Amino acid sequence: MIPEIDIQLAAVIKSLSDNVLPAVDNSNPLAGEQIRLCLATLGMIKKRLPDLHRYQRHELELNLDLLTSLAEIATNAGLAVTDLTTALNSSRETLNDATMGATEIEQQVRVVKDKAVSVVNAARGTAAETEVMALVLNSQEAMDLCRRAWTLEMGFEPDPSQIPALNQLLCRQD
Amino acid sequence: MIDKDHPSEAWIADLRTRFPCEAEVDWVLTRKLRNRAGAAYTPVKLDQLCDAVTDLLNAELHDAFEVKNPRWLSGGASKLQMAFDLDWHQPGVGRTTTPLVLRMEPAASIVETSRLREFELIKACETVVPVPPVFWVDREGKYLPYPALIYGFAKGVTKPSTAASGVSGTGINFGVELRKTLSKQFVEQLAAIHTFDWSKAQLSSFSVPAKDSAEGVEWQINWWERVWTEDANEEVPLMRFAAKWMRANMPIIDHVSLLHGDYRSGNFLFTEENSQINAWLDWETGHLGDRHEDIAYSICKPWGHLAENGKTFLVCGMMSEPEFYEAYEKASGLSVDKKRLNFYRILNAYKLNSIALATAYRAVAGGKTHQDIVLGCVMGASYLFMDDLRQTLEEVA
Repeated sequence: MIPEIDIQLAAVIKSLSDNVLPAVDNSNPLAGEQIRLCLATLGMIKKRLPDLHRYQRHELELNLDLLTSLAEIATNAGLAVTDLTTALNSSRETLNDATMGATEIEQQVRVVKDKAVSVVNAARGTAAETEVMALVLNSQEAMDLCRRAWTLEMGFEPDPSQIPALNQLLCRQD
Repeated sequence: MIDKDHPSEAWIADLRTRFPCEAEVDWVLTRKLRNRAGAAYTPVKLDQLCDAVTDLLNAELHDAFEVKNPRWLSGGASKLQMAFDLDWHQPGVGRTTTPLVLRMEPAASIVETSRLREFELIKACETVVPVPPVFWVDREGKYLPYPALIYGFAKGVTKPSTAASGVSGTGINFGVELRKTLSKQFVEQLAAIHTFDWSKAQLSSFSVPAKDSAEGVEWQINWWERVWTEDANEEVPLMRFAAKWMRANMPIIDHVSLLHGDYRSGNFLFTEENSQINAWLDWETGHLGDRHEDIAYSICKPWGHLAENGKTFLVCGMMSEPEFYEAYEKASGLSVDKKRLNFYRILNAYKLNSIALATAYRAVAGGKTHQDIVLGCVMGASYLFMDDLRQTLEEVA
């Protein structure tokens, strides 16, 4: 975390809260609603920014786990999915390369997800279909839980106490 | 690799063939793609909108009129809304001042829908449930900067003045007393919509699905899988799995009902002095179909919250699920079938993910709306919808 970014964000939030928010015309509800949402969003970004890199790596790991298992099924069932090994290898390389930044990791997550969908499509109507679907379903919970923990403060969860802390989820347990 | 931000005519044609929808829905989605590479939304001033409303009314009215007191309205995640007063000669009433609302699309919306369909649905329901009176529609944005409709200003609030809620009116807590009064109306009005004889209503922009067939279900799956395919920034294997499962398990529609499409707390106004529901809003995804779709929509997690006991989930902050089903069956005389309800839980979760995760992303990335910040927040709810999708599929698939 670059301290300056954290401090700059804090300064922006304070400026908007102390000076801009009180100056917003009360007769303009659209502006009032949006300045409050801007503040809430900035607050969330400030809180989550230190976890961003860890979160993205974790997302790639989860998707890579799924694709690895799907690839095994695809190979055993003789499903025709092109570039599966390339996607697996490039994902592993991304995870092993400490110089990879947020954009590269995000792109790699997309590659893995695209390839997982290719396996889902290839399995359609084959004997491997049930196994593929079970894997997809089983892998989704961990992914969703992480995202729900990330967005917890947005207030959509009917029972926030059911969502584990983000830090707890990001500690990979093999 | 398809460049979704610059859709080619070949890709659009392919989508239209792969996902046949109702004609008006197809028109809306095709227009969305053809406009996508165009400009971002640029703020419109109230004066500009008043001038455009005046142009529209000049074409519709033959007496002198004046558009007065324009002001912005907040609320919702979808359309831009301006309240104003119209001084005019109202047929059957005489010279009067009518408080009105202009409901206009931004350059692209979190959910792309037809203003004509919304206009026709509200009109059809004028004698069924409380709705604002609708007056005029500009289907193609001939007069307004974008397609729009004008309806009456309905008094009321979406939540008690003292209550908190999430973005776009989600998770409203009405409190113990108010929920008793509102929940009865909530269920009875849903039943009234579903049992309404729509066959004589003017619904020219709607296709009528065949009774005792799954035709109408397939239109819905096509609609939302097309939206997912058009807008998603990244694939989600579960979404493709869900679409495939739905196509293999489409239930028959035994009773073709008019559906609201977004029946939940936050989408009705009530008057605090007498706790009466005064207007149902946001009819834009309404269509003809299976009542279970609306029922399943109402029970979505983000619209409700836990009761004071910390255990019972309250549907739309109103009542428990068993109470909701029992009251609905009593009010409508129609059954609630658990199996079909589960199917529509999946369809609704799929639809909400298409909106919140795919279209919201695409609209915000293109800077296409007047409230991208709201859409950005709505995207946060998608993971809850995704979890709902997963859980329901695990139960039934």
